[in-house]
Amino acid sequence: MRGAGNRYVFWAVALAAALAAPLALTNNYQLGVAHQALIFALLATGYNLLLGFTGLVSFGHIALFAIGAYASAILVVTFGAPFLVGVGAAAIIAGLVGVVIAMPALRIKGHYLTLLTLALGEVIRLLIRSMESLTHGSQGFSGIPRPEIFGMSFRAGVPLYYLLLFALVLGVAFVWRIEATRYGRAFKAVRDSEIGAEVCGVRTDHVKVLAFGVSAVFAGVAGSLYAHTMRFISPEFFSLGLTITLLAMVLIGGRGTVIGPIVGAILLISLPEWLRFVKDYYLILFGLAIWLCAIALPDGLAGAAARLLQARNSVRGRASLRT
Amino acid sequence: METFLQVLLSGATMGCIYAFVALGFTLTIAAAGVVNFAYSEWVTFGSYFGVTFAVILGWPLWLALGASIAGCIAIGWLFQLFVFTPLEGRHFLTSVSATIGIALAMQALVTLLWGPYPLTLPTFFGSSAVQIGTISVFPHNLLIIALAVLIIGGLQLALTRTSIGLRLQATAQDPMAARLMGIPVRRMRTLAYCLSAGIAGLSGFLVAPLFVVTNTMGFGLMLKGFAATIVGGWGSLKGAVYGGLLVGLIEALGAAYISSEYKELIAFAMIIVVLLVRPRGLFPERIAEKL
Repeated sequence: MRGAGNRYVFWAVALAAALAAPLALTNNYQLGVAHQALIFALLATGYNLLLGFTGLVSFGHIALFAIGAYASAILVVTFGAPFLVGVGAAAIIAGLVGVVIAMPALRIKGHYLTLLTLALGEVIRLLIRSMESLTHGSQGFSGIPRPEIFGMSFRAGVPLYYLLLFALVLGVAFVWRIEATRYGRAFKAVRDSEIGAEVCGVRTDHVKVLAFGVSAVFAGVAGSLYAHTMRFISPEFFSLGLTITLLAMVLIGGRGTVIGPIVGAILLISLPEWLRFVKDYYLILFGLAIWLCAIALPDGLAGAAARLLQARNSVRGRASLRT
Repeated sequence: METFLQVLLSGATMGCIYAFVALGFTLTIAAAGVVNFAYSEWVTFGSYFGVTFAVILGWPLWLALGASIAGCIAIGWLFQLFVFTPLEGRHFLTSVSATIGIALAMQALVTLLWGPYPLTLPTFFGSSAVQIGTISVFPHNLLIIALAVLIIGGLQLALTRTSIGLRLQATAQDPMAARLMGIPVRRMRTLAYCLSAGIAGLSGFLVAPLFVVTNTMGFGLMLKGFAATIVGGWGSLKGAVYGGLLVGLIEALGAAYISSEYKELIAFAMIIVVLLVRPRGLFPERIAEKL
């Protein structure tokens, strides 16, 4: 099992790098970018469960992210609840909405599902905007405090970084574990052949609802963390443009892999910072990059890397056979 | 009564625009199974071409209209080379993400080429309203409706009565069988893409005087186009036309009599209701589903 050993080494190195990163991120601005990368990595990891593992293309996922953000902000600011209650409620409410969205999704497939979720997502966003007494409407919700857990404050950038990293590690560990269980296999079976899965005794309806629910819980937690990190949220932020960015994170990183969405999130959040010099041309390059990835790298960066490794190993394997 | 007729007229006008957008969007689905999320940018480019030719270069409007359509057809032709041909037969997700990528790039290109500020396009008949009976009518709205009837009727005749139209339909229904019958499938698909792009250019040019021209205008129209394709029936040309009209009318009536605040919600609510009640749309194409 050399491959599995390599994988542990890889994850250990990645975790060590993530733990050491605040040493290199010297100013608050860079730290802020890192915060966002962690939050979106968590969001994309959850979205990947739906899109990459189960093959359900939802365009309404950002609405669940928004629900998490607003639920937590309203509870903590308006009702004075502690942060942990806010996160918990965000997870539960987003999860429930995710399950409710999954119900009609059982009847329809493919592009119908995509357009249904797109419509549902926009309806949720417009409802959030119009419920002004709770959400402050299009003015946005400001003055959200940074997290505080049992008297421990995460106001400063570095402690907050570690809190977000902890949440991401938990999320990734969960996905990593679930991939090996029968639920993980059921997700992939539904993606690869729904009829085949059903014939083999997989209860596809349950699997789909589960995928929607779990990925919605991820979105809810990520939304709550986003609200308490940025301290300001507005309905305009959670628009279709963000859905496209999220989709691009998972696709460019590599759908259906554990590492892919993390790579995609870090890349897409930090890329605008690196590409500052191209300025106005950034969006053009970004769009063309998505197009190129879709056509040339259908499995994303992680898929391409895996294929490269496989090719090298098989060459080596053949070489060792010959000697 | 007067307000009702007024609302009906403006609803029908927008309905015709939505019908055009949905028709162009459906054409590439029907002909090659490609879902083109960049369609919004084709429409936007149609408007900006119109502004460029008519306002910046000062050409007569009819000439500018023709040139805008020609410009969009050129874009459609480029798309088939670089975007659609590599996507044919690929997974839905691939064609969605590739066309979304191109759409983002085109949207940014609009801002680079024409600047971030909204532009305006004049109408053929000036901006004053004409009094017909008790209601006041903008001639431009009547032009849109007349052109819609003319072009959609013409298209229907061309698709069902001419040899090239029948070949196009055959390609849409079964590309393999069409190829065996000696129909040049590649060329038929190119024709469908160019037709779709031409309709985008026309709708962009026609809708521009109703609003202002911005780089996000096409996107809003495409969302309504989605609603129209879902309401009418995915991949059905007839459904796209009826769906577009229905969305335009219901939206106008809802905004006038229920609440204009929730106007944006109406199209989305229609998508949700139709998908839950009749997932195949109200006017589905009667072709056996392929396995």
